[in-house]
Amino acid sequence: MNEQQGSGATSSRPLPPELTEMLPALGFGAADANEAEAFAALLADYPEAAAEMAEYAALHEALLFAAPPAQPPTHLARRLEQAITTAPAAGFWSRLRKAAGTERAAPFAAPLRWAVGAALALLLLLSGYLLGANRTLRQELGTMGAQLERQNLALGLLAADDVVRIEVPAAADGSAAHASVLWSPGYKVAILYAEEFPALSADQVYQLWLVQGEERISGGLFTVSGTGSGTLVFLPEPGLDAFDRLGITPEPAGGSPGPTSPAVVRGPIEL
Amino acid sequence: MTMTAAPHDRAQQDRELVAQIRRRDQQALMALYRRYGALVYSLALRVVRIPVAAEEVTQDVFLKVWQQPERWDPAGGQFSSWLLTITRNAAIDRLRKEQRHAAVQVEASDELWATAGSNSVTDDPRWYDGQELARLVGRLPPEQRQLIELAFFAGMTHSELAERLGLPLGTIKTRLRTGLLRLRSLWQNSAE
Repeated sequence: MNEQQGSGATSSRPLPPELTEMLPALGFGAADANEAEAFAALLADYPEAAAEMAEYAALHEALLFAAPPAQPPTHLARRLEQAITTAPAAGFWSRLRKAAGTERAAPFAAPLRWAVGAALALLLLLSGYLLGANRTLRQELGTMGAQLERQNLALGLLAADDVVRIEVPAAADGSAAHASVLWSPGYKVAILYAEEFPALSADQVYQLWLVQGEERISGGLFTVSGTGSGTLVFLPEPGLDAFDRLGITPEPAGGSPGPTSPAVVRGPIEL
Repeated sequence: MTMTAAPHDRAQQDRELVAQIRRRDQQALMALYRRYGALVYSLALRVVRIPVAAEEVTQDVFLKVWQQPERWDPAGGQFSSWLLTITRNAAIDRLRKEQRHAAVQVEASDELWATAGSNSVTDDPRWYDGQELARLVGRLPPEQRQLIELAFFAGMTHSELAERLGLPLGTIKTRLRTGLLRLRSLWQNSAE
């Protein structure tokens, strides 16, 4: 094969040289977005180029199977089985949010107001959707009220000018779990709000991990309510800015020396 | 180069398993995991390089299949290709989110290609093709192999490669194109 010219198209019409040169990268997916956009119109004019591009796309696809063989640890199957047992059905949370009118456009714009609104909406919806019993609903409202009171107290402590907020997204696509951390460098106090976390079994807790490079320390333990909400006040030493990312994993009651389960949420600490 | 198998049966079994997953059959997902878990983990590990991170990517990928099985369209290609495509994307996203993207090893790695096919992780016939392709990548000159590795396993584009390697953009384009042309030629010859 003439490597400088490529195989060319089977058509008698020659491809423009600039397109011929770009075809391998376009087919392999290595072109920059602006390059792909610039050549899109040219490709439309030369449909015969598609066959050659497809050969590079096929190389790309075959490379998916080219990784050195490795066997996953045996505990991964058990962990996956546990995860799908507790994972909500597809679309459950989005249906819930739509029904409650609490789509996540700006979920933490006013955290306390949102928490109250979301909690009431979720509780009202859950009353018909899952529980259907006024007594259970009152118990849930009581629990949520107590939790909001604690959050309110914690927010009072952080009513300082230097409070910064860190949003921590779900680790898995499709998960509604998310968390928010309020950090006051002056008071060296941080408050974590967890929302829509999966329910834990009775012998489990959530554990916060603060990570710096390859070093990981526990930031504390907490549990979540029936609606997946939880709060943790923690005092990171020497400060939250000493860490570059955080994550939260479910762990056995009492916590673990290191994460033993996949993270529910994780993200960088950008202050 | 392809081990004889029954690809039609295999594709049909994949379709049936995914249909069962859409009906919330947990055993069907675990059957898919037994079938493809090692393939997914191998690719995730190759991209993220850290076993714990590869485990998390693998679990995330199968949870995605569990939660959104309708995202696989059989008309768009084989299940295994779709599964490994979302694995690669998830693993590369993980690298970027953890800001380890820039720290990805840039030296062309002979040993990675040298171990290709040493232990079968699946009876999927496409794995044997992939391992053969890996051996062919290992025959490329290091400077071409390096670019193909970084483009594929780190998801880098022309300009990212140029920045990462400190080389002129034109050099990157020429070198990558030459490598891909040569690899395609080797691949075609190997299939004949």
